[in-house]
Amino acid sequence: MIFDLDDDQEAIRDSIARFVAEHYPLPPAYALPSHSLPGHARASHWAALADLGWLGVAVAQTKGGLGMTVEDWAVIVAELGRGLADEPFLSTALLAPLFLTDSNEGDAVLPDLVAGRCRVVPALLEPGRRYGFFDPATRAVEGPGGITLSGIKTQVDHGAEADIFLLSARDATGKLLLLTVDARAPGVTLTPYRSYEGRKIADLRLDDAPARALLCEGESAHDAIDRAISLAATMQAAEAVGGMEAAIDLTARFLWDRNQFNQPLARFQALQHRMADLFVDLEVARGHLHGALAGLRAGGAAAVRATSGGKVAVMRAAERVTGECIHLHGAMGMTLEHPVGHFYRHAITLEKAWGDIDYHLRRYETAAHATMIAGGA
Amino acid sequence: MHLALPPELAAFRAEVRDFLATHLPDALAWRMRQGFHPSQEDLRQWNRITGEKGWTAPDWPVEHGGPGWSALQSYIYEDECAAAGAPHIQWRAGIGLAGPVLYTFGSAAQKARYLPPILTGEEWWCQGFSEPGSGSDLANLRTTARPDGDTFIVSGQKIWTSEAEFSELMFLLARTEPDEKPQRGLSCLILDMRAPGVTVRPIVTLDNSHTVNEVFLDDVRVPVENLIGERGAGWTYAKYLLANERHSNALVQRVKRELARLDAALRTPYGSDAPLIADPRWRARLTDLEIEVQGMEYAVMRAVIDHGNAHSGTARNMAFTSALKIRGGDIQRRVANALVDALGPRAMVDYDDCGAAPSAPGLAGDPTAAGAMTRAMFRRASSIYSGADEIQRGIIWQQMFAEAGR
Repeated sequence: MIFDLDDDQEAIRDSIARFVAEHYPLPPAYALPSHSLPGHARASHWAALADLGWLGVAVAQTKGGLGMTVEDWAVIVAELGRGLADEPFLSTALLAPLFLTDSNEGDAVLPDLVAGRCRVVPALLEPGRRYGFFDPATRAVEGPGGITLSGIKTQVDHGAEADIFLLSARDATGKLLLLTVDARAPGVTLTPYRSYEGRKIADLRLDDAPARALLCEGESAHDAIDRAISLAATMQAAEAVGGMEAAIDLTARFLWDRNQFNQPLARFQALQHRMADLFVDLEVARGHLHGALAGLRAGGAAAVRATSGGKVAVMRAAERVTGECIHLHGAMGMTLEHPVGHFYRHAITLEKAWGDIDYHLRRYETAAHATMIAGGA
Repeated sequence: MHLALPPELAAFRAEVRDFLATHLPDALAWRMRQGFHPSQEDLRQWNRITGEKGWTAPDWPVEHGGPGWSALQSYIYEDECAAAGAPHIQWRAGIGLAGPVLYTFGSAAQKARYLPPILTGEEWWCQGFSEPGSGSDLANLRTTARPDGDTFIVSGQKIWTSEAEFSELMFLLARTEPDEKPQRGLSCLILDMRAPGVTVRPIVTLDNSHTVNEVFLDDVRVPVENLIGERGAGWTYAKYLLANERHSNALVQRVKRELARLDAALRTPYGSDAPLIADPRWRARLTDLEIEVQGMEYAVMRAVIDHGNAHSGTARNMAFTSALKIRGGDIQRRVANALVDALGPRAMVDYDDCGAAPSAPGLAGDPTAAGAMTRAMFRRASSIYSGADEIQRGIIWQQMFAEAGR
């Protein structure tokens, strides 16, 4: 068991770090999105990511990918988090392959996904309730021409750029299904908009839209979604750790650059101690990330405890750490022109997607204390 | 110590509540309760409405247009405003800063010229204190006001200036005595925001709102009549304001109502999900916040009543104001965050202040969530504005414990 990055992982980290620094400038170097204007401020570098092979990290080498490990993925995602890179990497490079693996649809689609030609995005969240991943309202109807879907999926990550959506639905008997749908299929209406943080999301409305393929159903679909939630939680934890690192680094430099009362702020012990506390929060959060990565391998209840527990702990730390970094910057930290506030906003985005702290606490409890709950305690 | 509320205050509270019910515009109240910022039109309109009633400046002396209320009445007025969703214009730069300094230290001509338009809302003020190089270290500010015949020539830069984009006037703290020690070199000046040389640049903050600005002052001519009080006494006047700050920045009356909104959100089923109030963890979180706020309310009432009596301006009183700001700001952040957490992913949509998501018509959002994230994001600044928490702690140490070892 080794906690340090090996040579290959260091090379991955450095490569991604260079890519991010070059392609995703931090504020104020990019034009800021205004919530009253259409369009978006930050260019996508999806094709460049594809050229470098990064879209294949979760696809087996036998299927044309790089077949890397979950730890490798975490290294990549942490660097994306350090740079606030706004790409659906988790959605398309990590989660989509998990759903598509070992299926005819996967064989058909994954090579194009890896090449950057086909963007597959999972769309499991529905409006009108908090999460409900396992009992979607979207209906699948079996007809002579195949399966058609009706329903609404909300806040789809970069939905307007997707070529294929990966959706959950239930049939007339209530059985859970996982299917794909072409973004340009009849009956598909996309409403792009922006999240609070300014990231591109979309609502997806399906009116008897024909499915491309049925991936799995029933127990298999349930397991696939469960594994996706575990993976998403772990990768969000990695991205949050990257964000915390970057926010802390920025803040440490700021405290030395900023003078008040004729000296750098860094000379004030109260602020030195606050920074020390942030270091404590970060390094303990890293332990939770490592636990989640290790837990993913274990599967079953152990994976749920490690990933859900890990997400809870890391998200609490991320809100505290990135929030403190704003405080330490003073009013400057409150402007959109300064990068530090963006780490705070993104920490909250990460927390709310794929199940928030409340969701993951319940998920943890169900796995850890199910017998107690079942017993009516 | 006698802690029962006098019974005659019930009638006053009813009168205030009635006024708010009939005069507070619904759209403005909705914006305030949801967590959005009031617009310029909202602020001026409310100023006008309360001005007609004579209630714009609850804490001003009667001879300058105040209603003659006791401290408790002022507190109750604020409480009902918070319940109804009225903006607290009495804490803005005109009523809360320029007015008190003018009626305490200004000339008769200045009082006659500037106090009435504050009360009607015809003239709106912004506060020109903070600078890019002077946040916590305000006394070292660098904007200069150089005497030149019958004017001052003002040059420099102010920042975090709320409402500068529509204010007619700035209450400016600038350096008029460059050879004096920093605190002794500052003066208070009335600056016309429409004068040549004034440039206002908007700053958008994490709450996706434009409420603060940067103000560039390039050789702006300010008539000598616009000096308030003595040259070099600006810091004294600013400290006078601090010592007399009646409201503690705790916003406890608002927070109380936000907890009621949180309670409602927890009780409301969302689709097929059971209401969160059924979860003991959520009940505990709500309970803990309610308990904190109920005690905090009495602490704030004590601060309000101590002001203007023998405690006013004492070391303990100043430290107490700082204590309320620190704890009050912390509670504000936790309450705002709790509502965002209760709303879950609904809070992640970017709503405008009419409850719609501006970048997507017909969106499957939830207007009840509108404003929650705006408030939570803005509240991140509660540890920073009006004197950062570290400054407040320094004040507490200085006022309460610096002499203890002697």
